[in-house]
Amino acid sequence: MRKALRRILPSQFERRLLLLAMAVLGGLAVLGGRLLVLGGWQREQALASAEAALVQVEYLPTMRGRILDRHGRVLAENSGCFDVAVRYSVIANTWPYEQARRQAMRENAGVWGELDYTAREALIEKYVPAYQQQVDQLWQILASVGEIDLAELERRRQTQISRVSQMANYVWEVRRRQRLLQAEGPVDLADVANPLAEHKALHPLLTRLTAEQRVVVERLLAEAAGAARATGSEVRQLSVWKEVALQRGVDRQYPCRTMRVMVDRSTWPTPLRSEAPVEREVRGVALQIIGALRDVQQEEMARRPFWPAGAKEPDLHGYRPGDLCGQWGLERGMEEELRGWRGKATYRLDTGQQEIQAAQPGKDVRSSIDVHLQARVQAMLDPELGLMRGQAWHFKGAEQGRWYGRPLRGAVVVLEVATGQVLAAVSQPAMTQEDLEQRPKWVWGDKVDWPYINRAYGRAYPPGSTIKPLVLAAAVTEDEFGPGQTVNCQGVFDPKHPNIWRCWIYKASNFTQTHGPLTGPEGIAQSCNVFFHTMGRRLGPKRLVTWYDRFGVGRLTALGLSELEQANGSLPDLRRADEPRAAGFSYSDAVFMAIGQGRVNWSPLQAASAYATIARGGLLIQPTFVVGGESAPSVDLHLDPRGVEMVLEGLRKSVEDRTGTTNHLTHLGNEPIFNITGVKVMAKSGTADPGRVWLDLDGDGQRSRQEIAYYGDHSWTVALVQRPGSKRPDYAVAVLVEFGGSGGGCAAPIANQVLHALRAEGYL
Amino acid sequence: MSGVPRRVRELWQSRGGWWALLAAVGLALIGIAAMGTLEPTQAGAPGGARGGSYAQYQATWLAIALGVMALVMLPGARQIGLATWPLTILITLVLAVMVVPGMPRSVVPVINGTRAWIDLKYLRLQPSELAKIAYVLALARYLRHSDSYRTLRGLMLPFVIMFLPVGLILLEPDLGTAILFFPVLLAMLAAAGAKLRHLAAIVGLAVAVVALNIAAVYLLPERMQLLKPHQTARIKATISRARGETQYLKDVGFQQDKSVTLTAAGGILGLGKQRAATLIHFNHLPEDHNDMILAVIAARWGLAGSWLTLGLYGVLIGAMLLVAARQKDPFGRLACVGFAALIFSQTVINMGMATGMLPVIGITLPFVSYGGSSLVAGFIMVGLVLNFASQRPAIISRPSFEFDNLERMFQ
Repeated sequence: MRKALRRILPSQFERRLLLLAMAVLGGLAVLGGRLLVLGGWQREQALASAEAALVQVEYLPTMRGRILDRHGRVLAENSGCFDVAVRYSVIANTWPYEQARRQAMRENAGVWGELDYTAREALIEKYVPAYQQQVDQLWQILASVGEIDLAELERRRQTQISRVSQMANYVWEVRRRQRLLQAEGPVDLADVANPLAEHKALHPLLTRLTAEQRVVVERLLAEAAGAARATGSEVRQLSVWKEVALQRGVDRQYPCRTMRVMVDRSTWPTPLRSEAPVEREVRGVALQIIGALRDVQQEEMARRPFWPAGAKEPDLHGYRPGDLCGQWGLERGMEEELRGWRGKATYRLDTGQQEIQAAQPGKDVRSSIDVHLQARVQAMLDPELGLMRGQAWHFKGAEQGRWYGRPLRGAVVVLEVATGQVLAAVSQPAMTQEDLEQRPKWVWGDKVDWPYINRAYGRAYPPGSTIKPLVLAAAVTEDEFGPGQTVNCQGVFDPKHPNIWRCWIYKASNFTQTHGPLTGPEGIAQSCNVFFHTMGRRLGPKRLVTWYDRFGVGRLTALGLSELEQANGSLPDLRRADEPRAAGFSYSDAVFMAIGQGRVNWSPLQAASAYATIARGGLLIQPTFVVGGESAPSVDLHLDPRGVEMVLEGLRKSVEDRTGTTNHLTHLGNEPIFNITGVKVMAKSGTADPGRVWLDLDGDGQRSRQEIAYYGDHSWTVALVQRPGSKRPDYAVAVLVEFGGSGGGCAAPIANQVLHALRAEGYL
Repeated sequence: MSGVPRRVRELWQSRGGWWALLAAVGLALIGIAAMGTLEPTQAGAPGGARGGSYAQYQATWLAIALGVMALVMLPGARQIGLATWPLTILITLVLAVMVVPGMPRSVVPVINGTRAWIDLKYLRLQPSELAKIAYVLALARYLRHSDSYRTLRGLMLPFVIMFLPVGLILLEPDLGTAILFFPVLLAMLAAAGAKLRHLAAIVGLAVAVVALNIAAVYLLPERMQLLKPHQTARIKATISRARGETQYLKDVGFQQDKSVTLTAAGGILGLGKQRAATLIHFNHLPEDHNDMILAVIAARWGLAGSWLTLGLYGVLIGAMLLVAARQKDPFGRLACVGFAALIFSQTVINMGMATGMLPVIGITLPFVSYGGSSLVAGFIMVGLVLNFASQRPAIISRPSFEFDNLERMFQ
């Protein structure tokens, strides 16, 4: 080969030229090939990418929907306002250095290229103080305009800085992970840490300016702008104002958070009664139900990202960093409705064409809550007024000393029977806006008061006797009991074991009193334990638990709020009903559960719903906090009408008969509990033993003597009320007072006052 | 007095040389046409203080360059050879003066962080463009009758010489120009007959150095880098882009990404003037008239345009090598090879970076990119090639650079 080449081209120089020429050809061929690949194969993608630069897209903000109460009163709405926003570099205080560097470069342009790092830094240092002074002055001015102290301004700056850094960390971490999937080696965070838009944006430091404040800020901005037009040294003195702007902000307003209510005490139990109404200011009205907003977190952005993985078009309903979303309550539960869709403005830079797709505002959500009723009930639950304070008639002798005068904790829920809508759900004690701001530790950390939990639907309690109507209705439907039949109460359920399963009446007067033979309505009215132990044994554990389950115990939650905020209650697992006793549950469980003790818990809302279901003749409608939209799902339980009749009759007798448990307050000269006139009231009290409640106050997982906090009974009353002319009860009211003692003594007078409140608001 | 018409007649006979001139003018016209796609210059841009379009300025420069070319065609090769050393020393001194600390900024302005220009009020000259030519000539002069480079030690000397201008240009700093000297020297040594295994060893060493540098970019921490931060960033950006990543596209890799995108967007036949101009404008292609002019050509005329450009380079370089082959004068031979290598290296590096194969480095596309000094320097080379091509062979001349079978040459 080489020899042949030498023969053809005897000159070494020419052979070398040939070598070089081939190298040139090779090089040109590589370039030509590369151009062919680009122009021939990658064209479509490249053209699309190049044309994308002709299009500028801007996403327009949407407007969150309002939350209204059932009568259209505004509970939450967005209102426009003005904020003072400052560039991030100024907030993070990198601005003085950046400016100093620019000035240093400008004024030393000739020699800048020759200086080394330290010399440059030394030069920059000289210019920093002037800019730093401007920034410090800016903080002084903003603090005085906003009427806050510098520490508060500093706190707001730190909040913005930490918000942006958190966001950046999140975004960079996601990018890093994406790159890790592509790359083999480790990926340094520095490789992906490009500045975000937030690092260049303005962020609000003073929000909701008053008109006067706005005028002041506008004057300051105008002065700075005027100075910038002029020449000379003034320009530099005010240049930081170029990084300040008045921005339209959005402010979520909750107009009904604080309300004033006149509390009429003329129908209260005698010792608390007063003819003079008292005016109360109620704070944090329905705060737990309406909810609040917070910045989106990873969870929302993962659930519904603005840019879904691999998508070319953004999800205009999706979340971007810095968006707000509901934190709890209806704001959270109805997030999808309220949120709305962003708009999209597309500008063609080459043709000037515009295409603007307007933002779609979020829908208004109409809550089932009547905010006036809510406030009225909340006002009367104020412990200062006495209903929610330990009173002599709540307790028997030994417990009185412990509880007398103490504020009580509890909840009230009011349900419209026909629709399952919640009219009011009040918890005491509950957080207020001020608590959230001033003592968040109490709000989120107190394990006795649970200020952020609405006990009406957020906690479950043993039902006690309030569950008995469900048992009777089930027993009649299952043909285990019928009209005309009786159960004979001898004080104890099983004479062979006289120390367990006693009737409550058997304890009184030295274990002599008994109920004797009782019909169904009498069993309810007198709340005979032996009667219902008997029903429990007749139904047996499987059927009893099945019926509880059908009524929603252990699972039913209301629509409109996140299920995470609601208590399901508890029941033994039906799937384990046939297992041997140790694993499943037994007849003695059933006998016990039939009086609402043992392995059954429900929330006040579930209780009200169960009574409303009976009042509807067995139609279960899922309770709801919202009105409109899809109607709440309903299930017919096919209750025997005779059973329903028997229960309602029992509830009526409980109120109206002298022997009824919700008839009168024994300790107060037999004064009637329900003193509202002109309507039919049916009610059932419950006195439920929660056992010893352990509160792990120090969080160490160990029970100490101080943490076994309560001995005593929870006090229940569930009432149905029927207007004259109605065919069936119109409203269901459930009242629970934690450790309130006797159901008839403590909770029932509150239920009575809830009925008065319903009347005051025009429902009765 | 009869010298001039004889020169013209001689010049007329240098056919390979005319092909080179034709190709060079063609490339310059493509460049001017491509600049016609672009916006007028901004006031304050280099060479554009009075406004006007890049194309107009470049056309003026083309006329000047052709005039200068005509001038360098006149003297005989012998005179050029004699002038080589003084010229080289002069230009080296100029380079040295430019990097002397304390030069007035009015004379040597700092543009893009580099002191590569001399400001002569009405025009700015880039002496390193002329230094490249002087260097090629000096090398040709040095190697012309020598055979010392046939040994490894003798081979080292030209490399040592190379470090003087390269060092000075690196001080400006202008890595792009400095880097060109290496392939030029290599090509001239190869043509001059240096042993291929020696050259292969040197190339191997160079490749190893480059590979080490790139490895260092990825493996060593920031403070231990051999290259400057912006250089490591550009290397990373190119490799990252080739892997389909997007992380550098907004900053370091922006220029290259836009260039590759617009090059590809032209497709086979291009987008036409209006559309190409719109896309280039709104994509904000940096240095569109200059380092990235290939993207403009490809966007407007597509593969047809870029291949035509490539073909013209082929003709230009081929013609120069052909002139070298037909030459008998060793000085002219080597100079032609050096010029060809210079143009080829610049073309490969520029197109390589514009198409995303090499990291971004400030090298213009010879004859095509905007820039007076560069255009003049290019046509000086063409003029010299024409000049050499027209030389009549000396009556008695020893064949040059034939080391392996001299006896056969004289048979």
